[in-house]
Amino acid sequence: MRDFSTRVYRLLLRLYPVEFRREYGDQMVLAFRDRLRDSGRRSLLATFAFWASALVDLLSSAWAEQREANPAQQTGVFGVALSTLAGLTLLIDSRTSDVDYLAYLLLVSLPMAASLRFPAWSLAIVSIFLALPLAIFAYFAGSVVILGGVLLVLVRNPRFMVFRATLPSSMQHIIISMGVIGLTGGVGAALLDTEFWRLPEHWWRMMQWSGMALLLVIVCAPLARYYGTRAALVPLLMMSVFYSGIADPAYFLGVINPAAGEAVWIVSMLPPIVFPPLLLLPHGKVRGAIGVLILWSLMLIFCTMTPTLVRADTAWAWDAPFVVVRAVEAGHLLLSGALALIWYDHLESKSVTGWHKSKTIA
Amino acid sequence: MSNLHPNTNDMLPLKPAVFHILLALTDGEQHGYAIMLEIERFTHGQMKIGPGTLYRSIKQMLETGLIEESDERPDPQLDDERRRYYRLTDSGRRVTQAEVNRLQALLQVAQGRGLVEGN
Repeated sequence: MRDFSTRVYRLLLRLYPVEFRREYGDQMVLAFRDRLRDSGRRSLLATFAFWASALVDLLSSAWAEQREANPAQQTGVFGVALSTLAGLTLLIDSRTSDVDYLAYLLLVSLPMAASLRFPAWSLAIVSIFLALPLAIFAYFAGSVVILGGVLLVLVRNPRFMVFRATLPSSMQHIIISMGVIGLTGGVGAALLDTEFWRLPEHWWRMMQWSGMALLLVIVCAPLARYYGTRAALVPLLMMSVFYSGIADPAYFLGVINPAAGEAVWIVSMLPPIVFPPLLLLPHGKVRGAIGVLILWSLMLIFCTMTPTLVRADTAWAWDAPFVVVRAVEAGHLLLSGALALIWYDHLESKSVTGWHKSKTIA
Repeated sequence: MSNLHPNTNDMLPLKPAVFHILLALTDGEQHGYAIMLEIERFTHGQMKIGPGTLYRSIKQMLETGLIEESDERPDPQLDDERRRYYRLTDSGRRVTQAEVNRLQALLQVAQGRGLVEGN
């Protein structure tokens, strides 16, 4: 029993920053083990009381240590301006006005929680909030809890939280979109009902939403790295606004004039593609900027091959051109997103040494 | 090794956990759990420090030079050789004394206002 408790305690130590854990983890486990042994000698109640106090002590000190180890970066006027611009490009590029607001608020909440660098606390709050006794909320809460667990395992270095948090949120995108559509026709319909998979619109929508999640990664990663975590929050917040369907220029213009709406949409695809490379240029990441630009240009080419087909609801059909275009588009979307992720991760890992040096000197 | 603070008074008032740890180390070097027990003993159980608070405080105290790690390790026959022992530095002792003086001055103020029982 004592060994099990000690193992659990050691596991919980992962909430501390890596460096702190390496330096003091073993010592803390020894102190915990000894205290547990002495409490066990007194009574079972004393053991429970100790566990409760140890948990409070661990969570509060881990939180404080995380905050100290990763002080909020200085955003500055430049960073806020850049992030606002990034948010605007996402806003202009919005294509969905009929999606579920809560689903996307949830999508945004996950990277936000991670960005605030209190993943365990923030996710717990989100989970509790969403665990209302409503079926659809319960579904969301389930996905948050599962992916929150994934997040906690993936995110070992808090400085990469914004970046890596978007990975599970991308998965969450797909799960939620499947769930939202599935719930409208009955719980589980998305997976069990073969009709779901026969509707091209569903495939397209999932792809589209996943693409937006990847776009978040592309925009937020350099923002978080070079302009501060708070700067990266702005496009995330703006995402939640446009996903609410209350601010979609292309959509509203399209209501007045469909052709103008279409034109705005096509033109507005450019800023999100150009913006992330531009963020990298001031920091000497020329090759990274070119790489991202090429990847996103490829995506643009294949995405705009069939804008009319994509837009026209009556044109949905499983004919050969549709399948080919969708397959190519899906492939490029995923490939470009994956490569961009790898590239940013590489840039991040290279920059760590410099960051540490500057922190030590300061 | 230690990063001594330029001015003792700048470090005051000490956080309760830090002050208690310093007091626990005044009689000699101790390992983490022994510090926890000592604090509990001299506060008659009123103050209990968990491992998280203890080692977070120890980290800060090492950084500010209030304590230092002892090079000596316990006899493996008598204790777990993984344990680290900590002891007060001269700076730590001065800061502890300064904090005691500060608290004593406060106590005198309280006494003057009739707030101390038995007066």
